[in-house]
Formats: sequence, structure tokens, C-alpha cells
Amino acid sequence: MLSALPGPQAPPPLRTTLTRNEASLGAAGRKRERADYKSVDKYGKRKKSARATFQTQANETRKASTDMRNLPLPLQALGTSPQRPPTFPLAALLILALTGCASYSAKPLETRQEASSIIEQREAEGLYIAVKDLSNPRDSLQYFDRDLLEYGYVPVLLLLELDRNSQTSFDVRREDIQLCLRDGKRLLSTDPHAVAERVSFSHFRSAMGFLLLFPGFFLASSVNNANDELEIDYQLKTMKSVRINPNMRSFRAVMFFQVPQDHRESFTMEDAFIEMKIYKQGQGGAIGKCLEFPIHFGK
Amino acid sequence: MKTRTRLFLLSFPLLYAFGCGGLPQREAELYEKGRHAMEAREWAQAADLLTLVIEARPKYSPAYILRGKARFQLKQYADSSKDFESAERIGRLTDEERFTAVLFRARCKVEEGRINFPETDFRKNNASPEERRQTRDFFLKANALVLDALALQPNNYDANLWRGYCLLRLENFRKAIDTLKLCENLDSSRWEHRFFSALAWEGIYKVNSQSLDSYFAVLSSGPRPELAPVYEYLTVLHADVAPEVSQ
Repeated sequence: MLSALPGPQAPPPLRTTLTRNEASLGAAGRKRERADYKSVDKYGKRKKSARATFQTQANETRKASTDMRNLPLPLQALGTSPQRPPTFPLAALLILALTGCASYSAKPLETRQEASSIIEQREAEGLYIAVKDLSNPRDSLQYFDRDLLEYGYVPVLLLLELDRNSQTSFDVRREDIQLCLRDGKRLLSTDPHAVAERVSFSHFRSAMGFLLLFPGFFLASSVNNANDELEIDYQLKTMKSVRINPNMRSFRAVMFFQVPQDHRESFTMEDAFIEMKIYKQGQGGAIGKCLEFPIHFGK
Repeated sequence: MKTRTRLFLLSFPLLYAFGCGGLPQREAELYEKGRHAMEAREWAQAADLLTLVIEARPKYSPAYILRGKARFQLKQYADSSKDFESAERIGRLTDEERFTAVLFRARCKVEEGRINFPETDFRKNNASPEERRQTRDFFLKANALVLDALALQPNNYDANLWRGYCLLRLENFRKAIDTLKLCENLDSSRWEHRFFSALAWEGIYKVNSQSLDSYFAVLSSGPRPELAPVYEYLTVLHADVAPEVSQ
């Protein structure tokens, strides 16, 4: 009667004995069937092999899902089937997976390459100067763990090197370095604290964590730690005013330049260059000659 | 459609044909005279004649273009630039006229920069930082305009030549050399790109035998008035090179 009704049917119960039909299977089929039932326990009852056990479980699962499908829709949504894993732990795992702990990971600035070994360098009275644009996503993610251009910042690496025969000192001040764009717009360097604040990890993830109460505390702590690490790293990598002299012949640091809002759409580093002023130290430590020149990024 | 409306609509093309678009008899004659004066290199006369045309027909853009060219030759770069700007603002320019207007505006900026800081001096450190920066601004503006011109005609020799020169004066020497190499492919019979390339090589390696050879190769065709900048530069350079090279 039931089988005559349309819709999903319950699968037949698992057969544990060999039938004539199965015996009529090919040699390989019989062999496989025999392997499934060849072990016999001490009471003479056949033991199920792992394969048979798996088949049993698979059939049970199939049956359960068929039963579920037969349930009314609201009950399906609740996952009322006793075989289903509970919803809450799954949701909790999902929240944790989505939020996760915050961590900051960035490489230190490379120290292998000196200014004098870069093709597009500038030499002025024994001081070599070179610049590198780190705004491409690959470099930016590598050194700052962020694609800074996405946030509207251009990181530029400045390399200074004093010629080995030079005994002169040069003063380089941060405020004397500007990024000159193709249209003539000049950008002053930005404070690394402002950059770090803008790109810091969001506390949204810890808010999500607080939905589960305890993980929220761990997440909040990890976000704070990561933000502290990020800011410290940015501060350490950033250019400060510096004096290049025979005791400190080489120096490298990063400068961040904020792209103005009206330049965001059409921003390009094509033909952009760094404009800087350096002061050659005069007699008796006095500020000497001022040298001013552009330094280009090269290809 | 009512007759009055029809007449009103018809008046637009008629006005355009006889008034705004073309020139009346007297102004057309003046414009022709101005054009002939330009061909005869009578720049001042051409500028005066074209001024009369512009006074009578202030919306006639070809007159601005022609007067801009005359004023450029008269070294009135600021006025020349204004004429080209006016022509662009009025519009109704052909592609060629638009290209000319943009490129000449760029050249006006280049020449203003050259007056401010000639190429014979720009690598010397005797200028103040402010002066150097001010000069650089001229070349930044010129470079932006040349890029606009190159967007209209990418394979134009002059646009590439002045792009190379702007890069040279912005002290982007390697990029300048790369751009000037394109000029060699576009027109190898011209000499300007060789002169600018030699200047760019000197920017990287100071005065060297390669750059000197380039200057002499440019001058090998004999003295010509247009080669004056090369002679002028070599005269300045004379003091900087070793006596045996000077000879």
C-alpha cells in the first residue's frame, strides 16, 4: 500500500545473508561479497567487515536524511533530527573561524642593497641617495602587512649611503623630503602613528567573539597586541631626521605619504619623484651648504 | 510646425554659416594676410593682423591658434599660451588643431623654464633650492601637457622630443634617454633628439667622450642657425673639460 504512494521510499533493510541472486553475481562480485562476510565469531555468527559496517552506516545516514526530508519545513530548519550535530557548537565554530585571532606579520626592511648599488641613484658630494616605491601590493604586504595604497598611503623607502672616502657629514630632515606627483602636487610625509591608526585591526572581530562571551576576551587581547606590534613596527621603520657621517655611513627608512582625496581616483606613481633638501655640515658643526635635487624611482 | 518656429530653427545653421562659423569678407582677407605673414616669418605683422581678426570675431578659434604661433616665435610665451588656451576653450577645433594647441602650450612652459634656468646652468649647484624648484614646476606642467599631446598623437616626433626634454630637465635622465630613443625611430634625420640624449647621458656620467661625439656628430653637417643651442652649449662646456679635449 505504502509502496504504491509517490515520493521517497525507505531503503530496504540491510541484508546479512547471501541470497541466490548474489550467488549469481560474477566471480569478482562473489569474492567481494565473501570478503565482507568471511569472518565468523566464536558462536558461529558471521562478523561484519569494515566495509559492511560502512555500508550499514551510510544506509542509516541516507535513511535519516530521507526522514528529515519528510519532516515539515520548520522542523527541518531547526535540525530536529537526532542524527544531526547540534547547531550551536557549529555556529560558534563558524564565528571563531570568521573572526580568528589578530596577528601582525611583516618583514624587516632589507639591508642587503645599498644606495650606491641601485641604478637609479643620485650622488651629491659623496652622499648616495636612492628611493624605492613600496606602494605595489606585493611589497606593501611584505613590509607592512597591508596594501597601504588601498588605505590611501604611499610608502617610499629612502636609502642613504656615504661614500667610503668621504669624511663629510650630512643632515637629512624629514620635513625636507616631499613626494612630487606628475601634476606637480607635492606631498609631505605623514606621521607613522596616523598610518598605523588608519590601518589597525578592527575590534569588530572581538565584538563577534563576545557573542560567545569568553573568546571575546582573547580576541580583544589579540587585536590589541597586533595593533601595538603594527604601530611599533611602523614607528621603527619610519624615517626620522638623521645625520649621515663617517660613523653611520648607511641608513634606510620608510616615509609614508598620504594621497589627497581628490587624487585617489587617478592616482599614479608614473613620473613621480622625491624632492629633497640635504644640508652639508659646515665648519665647526654649523649648517653648511644646502643641496636640493629630485630623486627618481626608476623602472 | 508654425512658420515662425521653422524660421527660428532655420536661423541657427544660417547664423553658424555666415556669422560665427566662418568669417565675413574683411576678416577673411585679414586672416589670409596674417597667414601669408606667418609663412614669410613676419611674426609681428602676423600677430597684429590676427589681433584685428580676433577683435572682430572673438569666437574664431583658428585665429587664436595662428596668433599663438606668431607670439611663440616672438618669445611672448605667456601671451602665446593664453591664445592656445582660448582656442581650446572656444572649441570647434580639428584633431590636428587641438594637438597643436596642447603641444604649443607645453612648449611655452618649456621655454619659460629654459629662460628661468638655461640648460647650460641647470646641473650647476649655484642656484638656490627655491629657484631650482620653481624651474622644475615649469617642466612639470610642460610634461603634463606633453602627455596630453601624446595621448592625441602617440607617434609624433615633436611630442616625444619635448617629453624627452621635460624628463631631462626633471633630471629623470634614464627615462629621458628611453623616450629620445623613440624619436630616433620616428625620424632619424633630425638632430634635436641626439643633442638632448647627449645632455641626458651627461646627467648620469658627467661630460664624457660619448656625449662629446654626439655633439660633434650633430655639428658635422656644417654651421646652421638652428644649431645655435649646440654651439652655445659647447662654448659653456669648453671650460669644464680637460685642455686636450677642448682642443
